[in-house]
Amino acid sequence: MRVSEQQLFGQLARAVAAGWARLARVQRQVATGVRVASPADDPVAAARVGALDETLRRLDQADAAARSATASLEASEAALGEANSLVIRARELAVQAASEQYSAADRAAVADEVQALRQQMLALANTEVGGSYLFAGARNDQVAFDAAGNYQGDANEPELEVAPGLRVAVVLSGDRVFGAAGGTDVLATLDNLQQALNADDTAAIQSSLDQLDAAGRQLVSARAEAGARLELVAAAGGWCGRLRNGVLTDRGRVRDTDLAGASMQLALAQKALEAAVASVAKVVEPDLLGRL
Amino acid sequence: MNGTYSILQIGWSGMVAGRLAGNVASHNVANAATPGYSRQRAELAARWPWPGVPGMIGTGVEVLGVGQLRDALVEGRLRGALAEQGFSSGMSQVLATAQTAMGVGQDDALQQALGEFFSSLADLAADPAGAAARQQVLASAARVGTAFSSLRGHLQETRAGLDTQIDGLVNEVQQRLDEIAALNKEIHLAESAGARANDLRDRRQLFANEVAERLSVRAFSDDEGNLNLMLAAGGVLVEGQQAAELNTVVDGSNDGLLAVDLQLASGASRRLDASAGGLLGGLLAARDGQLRDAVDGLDQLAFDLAGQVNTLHQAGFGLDGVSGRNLFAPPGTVEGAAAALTLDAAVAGNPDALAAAQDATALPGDNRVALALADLATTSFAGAGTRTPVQQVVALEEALGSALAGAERDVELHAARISQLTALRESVSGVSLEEEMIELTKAQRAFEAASKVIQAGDEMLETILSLR
Repeated sequence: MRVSEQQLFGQLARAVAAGWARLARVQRQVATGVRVASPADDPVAAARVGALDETLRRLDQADAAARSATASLEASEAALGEANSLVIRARELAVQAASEQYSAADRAAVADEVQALRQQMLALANTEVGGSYLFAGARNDQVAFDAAGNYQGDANEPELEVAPGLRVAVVLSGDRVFGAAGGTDVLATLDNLQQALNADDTAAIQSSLDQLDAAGRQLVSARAEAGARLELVAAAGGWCGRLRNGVLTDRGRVRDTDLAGASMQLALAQKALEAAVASVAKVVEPDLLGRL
Repeated sequence: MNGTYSILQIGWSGMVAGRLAGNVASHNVANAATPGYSRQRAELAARWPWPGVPGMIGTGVEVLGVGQLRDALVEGRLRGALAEQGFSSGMSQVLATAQTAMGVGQDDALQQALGEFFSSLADLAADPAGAAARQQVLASAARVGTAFSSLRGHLQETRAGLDTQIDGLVNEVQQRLDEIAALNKEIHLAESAGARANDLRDRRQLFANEVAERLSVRAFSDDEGNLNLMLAAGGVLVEGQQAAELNTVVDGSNDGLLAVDLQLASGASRRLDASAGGLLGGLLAARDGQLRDAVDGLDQLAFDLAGQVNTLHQAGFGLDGVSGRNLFAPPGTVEGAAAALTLDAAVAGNPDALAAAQDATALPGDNRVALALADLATTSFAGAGTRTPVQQVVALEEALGSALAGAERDVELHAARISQLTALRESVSGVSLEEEMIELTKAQRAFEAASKVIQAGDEMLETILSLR
């Protein structure tokens, strides 16, 4: 093939320009550590990165919900544990007060102690965390129980999504834990005991023992329920964490530069450019013009 | 005439031919770097011989003319490749600008804004009475609106920004069409005297190639030496000494962007679109194809999102126990929905109006509507019910990205084709300085030798004249 002047120089210019372009591309991949900086670099990979980013966001969102759920459930569990020990104390008092050796005055003193227990129980049932009453259901801006022991909340138990697709109720409705909806009205049981003590009525004191046992069982089972939910939230958190690691690895693989490979590419692109530039000098040299 | 004088004549013809060949070689050397130049050759032939004794004796050299070395087939294919190259580089230029506007990986990207919006709804579910959570939802919903409208604005700006370039391109094409028509006339005049107007033809060819970069054209030569240009998609651009007119007009049906009309001989006009090819066709293809689709896709997504969010939100109750409110101001039409996605007046600046609860009697702890709203992130209501909102944004970005990647690949492919075809063209028509130097030396030596012939003839005459 005939080779003309314009052809030769055009070819040299294109080779050098292509060398620079390739070097710049690989250099950017190495310097930023990102292979897919824009969708045009690799449209399929970019779409995958977009989907993985969304999965990460949902996992972060679930993580935030799980932390909130854990805080609420742990507070509930602690309050219920405390409530149960109050019931145990009340039962001890009732057993002692039922004994023949207690006088009416002794029983009245015990009644005062039961009165104090009842106040503590009311305070626990009205546990407040961050401005909302833990056991008031959805109507958590007001106390769960009024001073007379009437339930003021509702039966709703709001849920949170603690892992993608997994909702857990983070509230135990006070009515079913402390109130009559659970079978035994804990506050009323303490009231009854106090009245029986004040009335010096040993038969009534004896019968309130059964009620106290039922109240204890109700609180223990509610506490267990809160514990089970906590475990579920923790398990979901672990599962989300593993999923998150997998997604991060996957995203890295899809989006990030393979540094070892890219470094080789960079060296190669550099060599190619040097060769192209050197060839310009070599090719321009053998010139008939200079010899004529 | 077959005497001693004819030696002088023959020598003279050789000197003339040598000088002319030298002129042509020098012209080639001078134009070695001229774009579009085709090398020329003096076409020499032995002059008609005289019948005589003992046989036919030649009468020297004759210059038939100065010819050009060119390959019409390669030049036609080169024009085609230039048009395709122009088309893909037009597309890639527009799409690359648009992709920058999409702000992929930046904080104001739409995907990010949507993600934060849905996360803020989930946070509201965790604390439905919380003032901070409510503020956060309003702020992030407003950001979704801004992200939609700024993205749509960027895309529309990219489209509108092409008007200047399109106008400029149309002017450039028009100038070249006029030049080609004028050159047709000049070449016709020059060649009717018998010579070939080589350099004028080179210039005309160059103009035709420059038109081909901007519009996909076919070129035909006719018997009168005219170069006629047709738009490949149909329509005459240059016929003989007449150039067609291209006009830009504002197209109200396409957001008031510029359209290009080709005035036809019949008086009617033809609107150019992507099929016009070349750089102009590429710009129109990206502007009225991918970019318009992206804008329409955004509008549809904004419209659908506002509808879905509002339906759920209307059914819910604010902290004040009121229901039936919208979260986003409902867009009237799909067209332009992304440009005007804003908070509804009922909730703007009034965080308590945000509906998180499903039941007015379960306030403020009821979070079921907030949960349902957060769940929209995983609901496939976009893209005609096939994608979640974020998937739809990713799909829109992917569509632009793969169109851009395709156009960039095409640019490289056509560049390689053009470099091959240019090499082919140059190998036929290009000037090689070494070769021309040899031609020049050859011509110089021929000139010298011919002058020796005259000297020899002169000496022979002198011998004859000195006979006594």
